[in-house]
Amino acid sequence: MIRNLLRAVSGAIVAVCLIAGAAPAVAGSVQRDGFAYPQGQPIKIVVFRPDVRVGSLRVGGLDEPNADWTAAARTNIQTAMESSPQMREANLTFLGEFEGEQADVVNENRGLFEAVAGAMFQHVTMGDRLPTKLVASTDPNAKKQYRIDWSLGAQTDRLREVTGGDYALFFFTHDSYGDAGRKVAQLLMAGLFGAYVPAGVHIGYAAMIDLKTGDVVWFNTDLAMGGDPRDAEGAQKRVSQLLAGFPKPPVQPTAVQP
Amino acid sequence: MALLARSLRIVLAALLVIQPVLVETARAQEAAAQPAALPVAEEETYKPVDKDERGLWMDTEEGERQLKASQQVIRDPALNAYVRKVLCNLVGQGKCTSIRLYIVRTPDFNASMAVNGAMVVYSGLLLRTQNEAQLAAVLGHEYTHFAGHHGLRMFRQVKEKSAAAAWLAFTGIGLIASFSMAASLFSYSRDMEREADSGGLALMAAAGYDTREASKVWEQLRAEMDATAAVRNTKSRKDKNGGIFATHPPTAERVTNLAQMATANPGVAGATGLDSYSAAMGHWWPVFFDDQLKRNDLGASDYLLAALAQQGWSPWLLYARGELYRRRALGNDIADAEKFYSQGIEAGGELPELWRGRGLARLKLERPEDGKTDLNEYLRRSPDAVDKAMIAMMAGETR
Amino acid sequence: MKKRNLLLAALVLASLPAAPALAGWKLVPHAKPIAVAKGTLTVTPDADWNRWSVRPIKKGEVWTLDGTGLNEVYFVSGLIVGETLYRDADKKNRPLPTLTKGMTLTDIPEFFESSNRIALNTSLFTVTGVEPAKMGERDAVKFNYEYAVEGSPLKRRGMAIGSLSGGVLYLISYTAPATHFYEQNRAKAEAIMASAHY
Repeated sequence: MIRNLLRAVSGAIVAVCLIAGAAPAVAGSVQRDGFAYPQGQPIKIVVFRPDVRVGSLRVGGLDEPNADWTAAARTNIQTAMESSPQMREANLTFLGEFEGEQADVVNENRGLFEAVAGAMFQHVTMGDRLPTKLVASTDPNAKKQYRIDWSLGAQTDRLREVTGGDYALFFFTHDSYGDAGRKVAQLLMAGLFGAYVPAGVHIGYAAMIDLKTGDVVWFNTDLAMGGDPRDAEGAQKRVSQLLAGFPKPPVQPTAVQP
Repeated sequence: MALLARSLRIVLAALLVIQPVLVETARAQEAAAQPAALPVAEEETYKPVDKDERGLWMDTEEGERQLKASQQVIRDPALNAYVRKVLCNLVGQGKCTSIRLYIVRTPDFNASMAVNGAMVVYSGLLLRTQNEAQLAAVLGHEYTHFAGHHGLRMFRQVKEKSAAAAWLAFTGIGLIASFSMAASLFSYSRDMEREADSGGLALMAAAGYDTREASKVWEQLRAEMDATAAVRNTKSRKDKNGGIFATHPPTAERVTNLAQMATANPGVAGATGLDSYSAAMGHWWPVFFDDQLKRNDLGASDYLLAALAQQGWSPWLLYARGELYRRRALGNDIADAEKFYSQGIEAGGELPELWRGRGLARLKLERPEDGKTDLNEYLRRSPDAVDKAMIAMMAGETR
Repeated sequence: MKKRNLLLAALVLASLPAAPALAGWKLVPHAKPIAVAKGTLTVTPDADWNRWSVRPIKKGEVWTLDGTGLNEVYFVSGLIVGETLYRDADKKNRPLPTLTKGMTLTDIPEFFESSNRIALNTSLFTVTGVEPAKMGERDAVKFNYEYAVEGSPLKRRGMAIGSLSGGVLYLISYTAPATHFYEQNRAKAEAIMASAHY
C-alpha cells in the first residue's frame, strides 16, 4: 500500500544525505489538536495490512529484497504490537484481504491515505510549512504553531462499516541492512569525498485515522529507527518506537457484561 | 497537473535510483554466484527455491497486489478471455492455468512476465501487433523469459555488478509502476533475448502459426520509430538500446535472426489468425488508438493507422486520421483533416464525432455555414455528448 | 518529466533542512485581488491559499490548501503559440503539445487533456463535460475531467476554465482526489475561477 510513500521516504533520506552531507534526524510524533478518545466506551482499532519490508542495501544502491527477513519481521512486529502495553485497551485487530466492493472502498481509502500521508510528510515532517496552517498569535516572540488538520473526510465511515473498527491504524517499516560490500564502499567514499553513504535504511511510519470523521488523529515518522525486527526482542523495541507518542486508549472502568 | 501533485513522491524515488551512479566508482564486488540449475518455472506448484528468488517473489507479489487494485487494469471479460486463449493455446492448458494475466491501459509497446507468473500485456502492444500470430510471438517470447528464469538470472547479474538500483524492474510488474525510471536501467542480455526469440518462435510453430510473423513485429516497430523521427525531424531511435525499448531492442540483427529461424521452422504458412484477431480487437481498437493519438506523436500514429488500414480505410480509421491531423493543426493539417472526415462520412460512417470533427475543421477553414450544419448534425446524432453545451454555442454563434 | 521532478525535489529538499527560512510557500490572503503567474491574469480568492515559490513554467503558478496531491490550483497566464502547458521536460522522447496558431475554445480541453496524458504518463484521463463560460468579460470554456495515474487506486477529479485572446491562452485548473477532497474545496476553487479576469 504505502509503497510509494515508502519509496519517497527512503529516497528522501538518501537525497537529504547527498545534499546536506549528513544523516537527517527527522523523527516526530504528532497528535491532532484536541484529540481525545470518547469517554466510557470501548474502542476498536483495526490495522490495515502493514507494509513491512526488510532487505539488504548493496553497494550500488540496489535494495535487495529478503523474503525470509521480511516474513520474520512481519510476524514479530504484529506480535509485538498486539502485546504492546500501549494497545492493551485497543481491541487491536489485524485485517485480512477484502473482496469485491469492500476491496474497492479499502483500496480507494488506501490511495487517499497515501496522498494525505505524502502531504503531511512534506508539510509537517519535512517542515515545508504551509502558511495557511499557521496559528495566529498575538505574541511576536511565540514559537510558530501550525495546525495539524488533515482529514480523509467523513466518507471513511464506509471503512467503519467494512471493518467494524472505530479507528484505523496504518503503518509501514522499511529496513535495508548494509552488507559487507557496502560498508567497504562507505569507508572509501567517506575517505575520498567526505560524502555520507548511509550504512542502512531503517524507517518507520505510523498513523491513525478516526473513522467517524476521517481525521488523522496521530502520526509518527521515524527515519532512523532502532530495533531489529528480524528478532522478537528487536521488534518490541521497533514497535515501541513506532508507537512513540501514540494516544493510548484509556482503561475501561467496567466492561458491561450482558 | 498532478505532476506537481506527485512530484515529491516520484522524484524522491528517482533520486534513490540515481544515487548508485555516484557510488559506482567505489564498487566492491561480491563473489558471483553462478546461476544454479533451476527447475523449470512453469509448474503450477512451483515455489521459489533460494534466497534471491524468494526475495524477488516477495517484491513481485507486492507489486501484483498494487497492480490488481489499480484503475489501469482492463477488466473486460471478452478481451481477457481472448488473450488468455491465445496464451493457453501457445503454452498448453496445464501451464497456462497458473499464469495470471493483466491487460493494462498503456499506449506503449510492451509485455512482461514476472517471476511469479503474473503476465502484463500493454494495450499499446495489442494496437501494434497486427494479427494473432504476432501477438502469439510476443507472448511466447515473454513466456520463454519466464520459463528460463531470465528475470532471476538478470537480477543476479546486476547484483554481481552492482550496476543498477532498479530492482523493481526485475519484478516485471514494477515496470508498470515506475516504467520510465526502470526501463533505462534494465535490459535482458543479448543471449537471453535470443533464447526468448527462439523459444517463442518454437511455441508459435507448435501452436500452428505462421512463424514469419515474428520478425514482422520488430520490423514494424523499427518502421514506426522511423515514422516518429521523420515527423519530429530527429534521428530514429530504432537502433538505440534504451528508453522505452530497453527491454526488447528491435535491432536489425534480431529481425534477421527471427526471419532465419522462421525459414527453418515455418509453422503453418498463412496461419496468421487475422480474422479472429480483428474480431476480438474491433471494439477496443478505437479506444486504444484514441490513447495513442493523444500522445502527440503524429508520425507513429499515422504509421499505425496505415497499418490498421491494410484491409481498407474503414470510416473509423478515417475519423481517427482526421482527429490526428485536426489536433496537430500545422500547415495544411486542418484541410487534410476535413478531407478525411468527409471520406469517412462518404464511406458510410455513422460515428457522430465525424460531424463534430468536420464541423470544427470547417469553422477553421472559414466555412461557417458548412461547419454549423455539421455541428448541428453531431448534436442531433449525439444529444447527450459531454460537450453538447459548448458545441451548441459554436453551432449557434456562426449563424 | 523525471528530470524536472528531480530538480523540484532537489529544490524542495535543499531548501528544507539546511535553511528553513527559504520556505517554499507564501500566503495568498483572501479577498484581495492578485495577479498570478507573472501575467495579467488576476483573481480574488475567497479564502487564504498557499502559493508555491517554484514555477513549473515561466507563465505558470501553483496554489494549494493542504498539499498539491490533495488540492491544487494551477494558473497559466499568457501562454503563446509554440509554448507548452507544463515544462517540456522530456522533449526528445515525449514532447508535450504546443499551443498552435488558430486554436479556438473547443481546442483548449483537447490541449489540456493531451498535455496531461503525456505529463502524467497515463491513459486513464477522461474529459467529462465541456460548456461555454466567461472569464471576466471574455469568452471562455469550462470543462471537467477525471484521471488516475498508473499503478494507483486513487481517482482524481478536476475542473478548469480556459480563455483565448489573440491566440494567447489563460487557464486555471483545480484538481483533487475524487474521494472527499474534490467536493470539500470545490467552492473555493470556483470562487477563484469566477473572479478571474485578464
